[in-house]
Amino acid sequence: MRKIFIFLILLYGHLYALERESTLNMYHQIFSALVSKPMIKVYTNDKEYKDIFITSQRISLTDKPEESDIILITDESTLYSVLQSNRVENNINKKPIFVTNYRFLKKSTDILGAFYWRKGRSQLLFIKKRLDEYNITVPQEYKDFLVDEL
Amino acid sequence: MRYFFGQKMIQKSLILLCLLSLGTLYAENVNSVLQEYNQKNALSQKTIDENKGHLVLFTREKLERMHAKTLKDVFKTTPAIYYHENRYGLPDPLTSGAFEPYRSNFIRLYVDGVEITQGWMGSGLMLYGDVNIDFVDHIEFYYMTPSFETTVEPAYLTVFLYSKDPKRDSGGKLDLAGGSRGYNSQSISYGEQKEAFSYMINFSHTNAKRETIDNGTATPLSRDFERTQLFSYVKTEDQIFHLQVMKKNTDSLAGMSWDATPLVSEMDYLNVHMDYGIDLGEYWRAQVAYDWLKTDMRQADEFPVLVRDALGANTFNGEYKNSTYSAELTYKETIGNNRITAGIKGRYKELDSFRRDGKDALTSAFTTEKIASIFFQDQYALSDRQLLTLGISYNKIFRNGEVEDDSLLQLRLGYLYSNEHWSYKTYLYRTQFALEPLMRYLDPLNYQDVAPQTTLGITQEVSYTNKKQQIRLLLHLMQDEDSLLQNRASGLGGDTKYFTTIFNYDYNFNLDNKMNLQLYYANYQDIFDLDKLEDMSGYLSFTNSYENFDFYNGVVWHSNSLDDWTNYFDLTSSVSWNFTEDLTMTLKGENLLNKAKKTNLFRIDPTTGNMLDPLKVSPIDQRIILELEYLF
Repeated sequence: MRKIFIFLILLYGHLYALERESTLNMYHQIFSALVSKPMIKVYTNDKEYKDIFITSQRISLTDKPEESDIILITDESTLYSVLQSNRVENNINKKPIFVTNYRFLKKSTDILGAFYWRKGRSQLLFIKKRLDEYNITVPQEYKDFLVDEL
Repeated sequence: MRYFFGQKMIQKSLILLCLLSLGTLYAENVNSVLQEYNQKNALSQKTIDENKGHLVLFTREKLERMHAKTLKDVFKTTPAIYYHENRYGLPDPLTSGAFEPYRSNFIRLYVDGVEITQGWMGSGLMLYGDVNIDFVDHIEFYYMTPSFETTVEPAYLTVFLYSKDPKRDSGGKLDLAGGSRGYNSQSISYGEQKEAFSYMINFSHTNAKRETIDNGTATPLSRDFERTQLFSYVKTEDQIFHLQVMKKNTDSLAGMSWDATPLVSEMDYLNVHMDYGIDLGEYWRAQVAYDWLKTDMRQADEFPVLVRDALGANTFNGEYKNSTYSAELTYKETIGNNRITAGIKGRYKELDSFRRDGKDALTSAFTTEKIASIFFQDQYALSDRQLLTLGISYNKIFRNGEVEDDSLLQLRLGYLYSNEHWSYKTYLYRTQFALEPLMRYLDPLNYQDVAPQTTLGITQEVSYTNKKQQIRLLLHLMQDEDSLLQNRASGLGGDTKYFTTIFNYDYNFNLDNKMNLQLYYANYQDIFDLDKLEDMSGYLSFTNSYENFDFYNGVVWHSNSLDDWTNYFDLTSSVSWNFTEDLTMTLKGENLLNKAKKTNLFRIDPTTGNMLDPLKVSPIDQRIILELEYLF
């Protein structure tokens, strides 16, 4: 609900924060499409996303990528370290990765999709070929967001 | 066992069904969830301050769809104050088309919340009015008296450009465009988010080959310009530093020629802006800024040029340099239901040098202006839906050279109401404006000591918003006393009354298809030696996407009583083909009907002193542009 508090948004600083409710709602959608569990374990080291996910009834955070159902990556250095550990796991305990940057999709086929900004609009993208490798089928309603490969 | 197995199966099936239903339910809503996410997470949602005034917003999505490359592309669609260029070919929306040097100092321009000013020469709009906006995420136009925390000097209209954020726009972007008459522009940007800081840099070059204006001679008036521009910043969680440089070499249209038949009319600008801001804990913020401008004017005519200190010469080759230093310290705290904002601001404008024909020509004693300002603002929450806002600002302007000082008092009282769908706001204000230093400097006999203009006004805005649409109506009544704009040629001091109204209707068919409508009506009493002037305008735009194609169609309409209700239409259309996620090609047509609004450029016969028929000039060129955009 749009309340009067919006008039009091007078923040110092120049960092743009995500809006919690709509962000959580969106990631509920994304993770539910990828993981068929009532409670989804997510690994991320992004503090902003952690702060948002911690309020969720359907997402539980984990500090270890190997214990997660899905890994959310927002920066390049974390991407490389997770990809490295995925390689070590040698397909036995490899975890699907989801990212917030389109360019990351080109770095590894372990990345199933991305939710990112392009020209002022958010974009959701799943890569079918990679989903198939993880035996994941997203609901039909996501067909507009599905591409065969990059 | 069978029963147990069956029960387990039923339980599993039910869970699976629930999950599937849940998944389907969520997925069914994915488009609306996405739409809501887009709306609530647009960067503009983080910077909009409803209390700054009455907002006209251009989101990143809208700017991208419009393929707006310069602030002019955006400004030409706004209501009330239209984009215009003066007789020097400079952005000057309030120009009368007469012989004044610059008139739009009532409009102030900000980049990331910091004012860009040309100090002695006037508002930053003079150069930034058509600035390349490849570095910009979104633009906010706030109409009528803004909240005092943003302004050092009073304003009617404040234009806020907010830059892109590397967290969303990491990496690089190359943009190449070519168009009619050899128009071409190149822009390259790069931004990166590091662990402790982020930075962005944009470098652009524009060679604007523009339409010439027939002045009845063999040499039509030219307003081509070549501009090279750098925008950059580095920011951390609590600090930000900007560096902006602009070099603009321009053919200055009629320039200083009384009858608009110059032999030479050129102006070159070199502008530097730097600012640094830091949050000093939870409540305090400090900010300093430096603006420097070098102006090189080359003017020649068969008859004496119109600058007053030209001593009857037919040429004027002058070089001005001026510096502006600004500093401010602000304090914000919420105490109970009160949101207190207070601060002190200072600005020092100096005409560093004036050389004519290569020699020092700074003979006037009037070379500096110091502005000290103090403000206090309280936003009191009457309830969770109602807000009362009160602001007071006092400015003292000190001038050297025995030119009279000014004291300006600004007051602003507002009430805001908002619920889930409806919002209402009203402001009552008193604003005072002082005549800018350039006018006083150029014509000391007439403008050395001029009383400040006092403006009284009331505005009301009501809007209704739901997921699909927004409807808004704005009403505004205002009166100037001792108007600075009122017919300067025959002396200052007239009173002008204004009534304006703006109606907006925005409709989102879905994520890909949107419509905006804006209508504007104004009634002025006692303006430009006229008893009454009526002015109307409209803007209708459609943005559509189909598969890999994006479409934009927008038409701006103008008509006013001064022009015998002639209708002007500026139609802009574009189609973009997104080859890949990284590569886009766009074909765009501006002023396709070649009927964009024209205004008078007045002329005087230098031999007789009689008025000649004014030239009709449109600031909007007819142009076809092909653009290639590559993200890397």
